[in-house]
Order: sequence, then structure tokens, then C-alpha cells
Amino acid sequence: MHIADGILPVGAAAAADALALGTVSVLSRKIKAAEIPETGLMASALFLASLLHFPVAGTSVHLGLYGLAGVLLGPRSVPAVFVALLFQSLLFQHGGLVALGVNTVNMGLGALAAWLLWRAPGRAGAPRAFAAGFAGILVPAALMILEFRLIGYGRRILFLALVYVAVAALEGVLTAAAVAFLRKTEPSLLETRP
Amino acid sequence: MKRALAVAAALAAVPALCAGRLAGHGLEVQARLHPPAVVLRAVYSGGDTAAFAAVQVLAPGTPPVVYQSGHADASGRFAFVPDREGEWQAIVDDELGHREKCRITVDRAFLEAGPAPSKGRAAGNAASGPAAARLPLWLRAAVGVALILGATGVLYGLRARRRPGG
Repeated sequence: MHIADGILPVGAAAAADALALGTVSVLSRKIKAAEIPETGLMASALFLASLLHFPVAGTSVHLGLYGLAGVLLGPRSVPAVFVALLFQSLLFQHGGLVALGVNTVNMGLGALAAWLLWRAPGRAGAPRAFAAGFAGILVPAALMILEFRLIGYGRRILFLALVYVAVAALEGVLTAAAVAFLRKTEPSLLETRP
Repeated sequence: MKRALAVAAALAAVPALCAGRLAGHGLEVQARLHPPAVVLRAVYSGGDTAAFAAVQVLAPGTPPVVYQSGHADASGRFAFVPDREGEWQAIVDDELGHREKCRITVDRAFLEAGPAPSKGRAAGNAASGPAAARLPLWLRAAVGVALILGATGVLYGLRARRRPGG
């Protein structure tokens, strides 16, 4: 899921860095003081989530929790994703500092897609939570595969897509479970917010 | 505070529900010297093999020139025979988004050595990734969480003082 340094052309990576930094800067300013603790907790969870990994046919995939971040934080999930990716890059060598922007854009859009699904009209039940968790992985995976296709990188792209569909389904289940827990303990956290 | 505790409890439950192993996921390159060959092994940080990863070996020089390229075997292994002294580079790419570069210094003694003992020896000068990568994974995870939560606390304090009730 994380794109490493040296794979994308430098110009494309720099453009993505500028876009990501601008977006994170704008969205960070909108975070209220009372929202900072849960945003920081979510960033910590996103940071650790990539340690839960699964070997699959010669490669390795991991959890992201981008869908859950989108459900709980809304647009604030993008700064949380950025912080998590920054520390994953520095401490786990997941992705890279040059590719931080493109990874933030990919995974941040996954979180935003999950948030849009979650706040869509209608009853926000378990199926909706599953869909949000599913989209939180599938959107970044689709963007990553599209970027790989555009630069002519990689092999086994179809295989990679199938792997991420399975990971997205797992994330959907985990997101639905977390949402069910929060509905019982602190339902106000699940209120959709702009 | 209650909201933050509820979020923490929900987030803690996610790993508990998950059957995956707790391990790193970045790509690492291990190098061993088996004169006259250097044997590389591509693994993910958790120890899983990066099977059939693409490998490009660059010989010393300015700019470095491609000396050998190909794919690792099913065990993530790849071997090459250096023909000169200097700093060699191996770029390993699983072609699924993970890439790592390893530097191996080859000296005269290596080039003149006879066949190595069966197990060879680790290339002590081989470097894959920054120094932080050689810390235990649990320590890196703890450092990351501590830094994020510490920064969160500082931001919270600053923002709350600047805009009381904001």
C-alpha cells in the first residue's frame, strides 16, 4: 500500500508532496482544541496498524484503518494519516519521505471516501460501516494501481488488486466491529460532522 | 476525555480482533559474502520472503553502471560475482511498491579470497536502510507512539491556551 521512494518520477512525487502539504495545512487549522486528543490517538493507531501484516503469495499486506479514521474524524483524518505516514516512513521504512505526499493523497482520499459514505443520507448501520472500511482500503489501492499503470511500473497488478479486495473486506469487518462498539459506549463519536 | 477514552478502547480492540502477526512490513536486504560471490536475500521486515523481487546490481563508478539485473528466486535470494573493489549497490524492488537499496563494500581481500566456508559471513559493511531500521521493532513502535502522543499533548495545550473553550 505504501509507495516507496524511487518508484514515482521525482516531478510527480514533488507535485503530490505540495498537494498533500497544502491540504494537511488547511485541514489542520480547522481542528478545534477539543478534537486534538482523539485525532492524535487515531494517528497513533494508524501508525501502528501497518504492523499487523499478512504474507500473501510472495508479498506482504497490512491493515490501514483509513476507513475507521474517516468515520471517526471526517476531514481531520487527512492530517492524522499524514502524521502516521511520516512516522511509518521514519521508523518502519514504510514508503519514504519523497513519496510521503503521494501516499498521503492516496490514503487520505481513502479516509475521505469512507467519511462521505458514512455521512450519506440513510441509516448509518453495520453495512454502512463495512462499506466505509472497505472503501478506506480499496480507494488507496485503486489509486496506487492506477499510478503504477501510468508510469509502467510493476507486475502482477491484477493479483495485487485481488489481494487488496480481500484486505478491504477484512477492514470492512473490523470497522463495523469498532463502530458497533462505539455505538454502545460513546455514540456521539459517530455523529457525522462536516 | 471520555470521547478520547472511547476512541482508545475501540482502537485497541481492532488489533485484538485481528489474527495477523505484529511485525514490520518494509523491505530489507541482507547480504552475505561467499567469495567469490555476494549473496543477497530480500525479506520483509517481519521475516517474510520477498519472492522473485527484481534486483539490479550497480558496479562502483561515477555514475554507477548496471552490472547485473534479474529476479531473486522463490526464497528471495540473488547472487552476483563482483569483479572490482569499491562500493557496490543492489536495488531490490518487489514490483508491488516496495523498494530498498543496499550498499556492499568489496575489498581486495574479498576478490583474492578462495571459496568461502559453507555458510559464508555476513557482509558487515552492507547497509540497508537508515540506522533506525536496526533498532528493535517494539522500540521503534514505542518511540513513534510516544512522539505522536507527545506532540498531540503539546498542540492541545497550546491550542487550548490560545483559544479557551475553542
